[in-house]
Amino acid sequence: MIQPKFSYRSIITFLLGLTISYFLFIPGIKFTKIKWLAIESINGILNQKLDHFFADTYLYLHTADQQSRQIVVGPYQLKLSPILLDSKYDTQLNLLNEKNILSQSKVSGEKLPVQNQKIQLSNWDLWLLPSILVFCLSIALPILFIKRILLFLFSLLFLQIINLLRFLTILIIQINQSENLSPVSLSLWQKKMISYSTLFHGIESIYMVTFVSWIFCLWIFLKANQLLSKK
Amino acid sequence: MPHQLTGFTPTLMQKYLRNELIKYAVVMVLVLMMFFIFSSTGIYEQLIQQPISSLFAKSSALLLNLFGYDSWAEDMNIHCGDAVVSISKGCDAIAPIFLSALAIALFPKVRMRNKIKGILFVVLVLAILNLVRILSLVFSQLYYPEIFDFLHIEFWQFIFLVSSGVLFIHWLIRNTKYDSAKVQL
Repeated sequence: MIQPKFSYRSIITFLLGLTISYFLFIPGIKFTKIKWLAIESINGILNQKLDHFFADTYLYLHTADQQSRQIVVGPYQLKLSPILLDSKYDTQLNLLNEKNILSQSKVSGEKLPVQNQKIQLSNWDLWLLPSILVFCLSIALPILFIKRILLFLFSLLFLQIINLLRFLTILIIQINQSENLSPVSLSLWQKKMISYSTLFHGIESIYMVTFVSWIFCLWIFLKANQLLSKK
Repeated sequence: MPHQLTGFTPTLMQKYLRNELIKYAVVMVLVLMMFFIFSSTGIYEQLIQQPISSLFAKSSALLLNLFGYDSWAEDMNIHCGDAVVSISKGCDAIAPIFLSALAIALFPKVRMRNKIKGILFVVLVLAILNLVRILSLVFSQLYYPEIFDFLHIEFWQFIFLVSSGVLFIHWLIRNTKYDSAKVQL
């Protein structure tokens, strides 16, 4: 018979730490201004890095904090009205047909017809919740504090790659479903993979994927520690 | 260590591929992915998800009636006063039950009888926990609608994930033995 090395005492310590930190941090962030600050920062980074990621499509994530925003597409300055979404969502994803905007002749004072696609998103579910969960899992582990921090950073990095892939698949699906935007060309195999990826967009799978990813990172981390201590 | 007959020293990859716990983890991930793919099909919805959700809806309505609440189930929905709670995909506890049962079923070198006992125990505990979850959501919609979203997502998803893990580890400790002489993960 085989068994990884476990003891009830260390498991109970871990579970207590995990539960306490989870129920401190989740409401402490979700129901305060911290959530909106974090979401605005995430949206800012994504807008900066991904605004021209897809050819002919301009991407802008608008935080649902009831404030208007201004975006610049080529020679045009577009004003986005404040938005108030259902409590499940915190961001409006705006995908604009940049090619169409730039091809129009500029007449000052006239309203510019914009072809676009708007989708409601929850960046809390996509980015913040998994990150907090990974943080709680890492700090609850009964190991040296510095190791907890290193494990958190490593698993956070790994998780952000998964989250980014998840986010990109959402974008591709939305762009390709829209009649107003230039579709992203994909091979049959890529189309299949992207359609399967939607299975991992639900909240239940976000939790499961986060948990499984963290266990994988923990295993790599412990293995690396073992190898380093042997040397 | 070099192989007895060939004299070759196995590479790190070969060493890991021979490790039973690594094989176990790889098979677990593959079967889980297959489960997620299967769960997107109409067959799954018709033959597994809808009957299980209806069963949970009926059981919850029955329990609410026992507590003196006028309640009834309609397909996958529970009606109780002004509250209507729908047991949709993800609220049926199928995934955590499957995850825990799979973790037990695939674990190497444990007697089949102990695996079956473990799976039955996990299914029972998580099914009861799901009934508690559904009732808590009905009560929250009746009395504290402002915390419904938090209970539905952040609270119960976490509780299910942790419970699945705890049940599996408890089963593991009871049915397996730590062997320090063996190469561990």
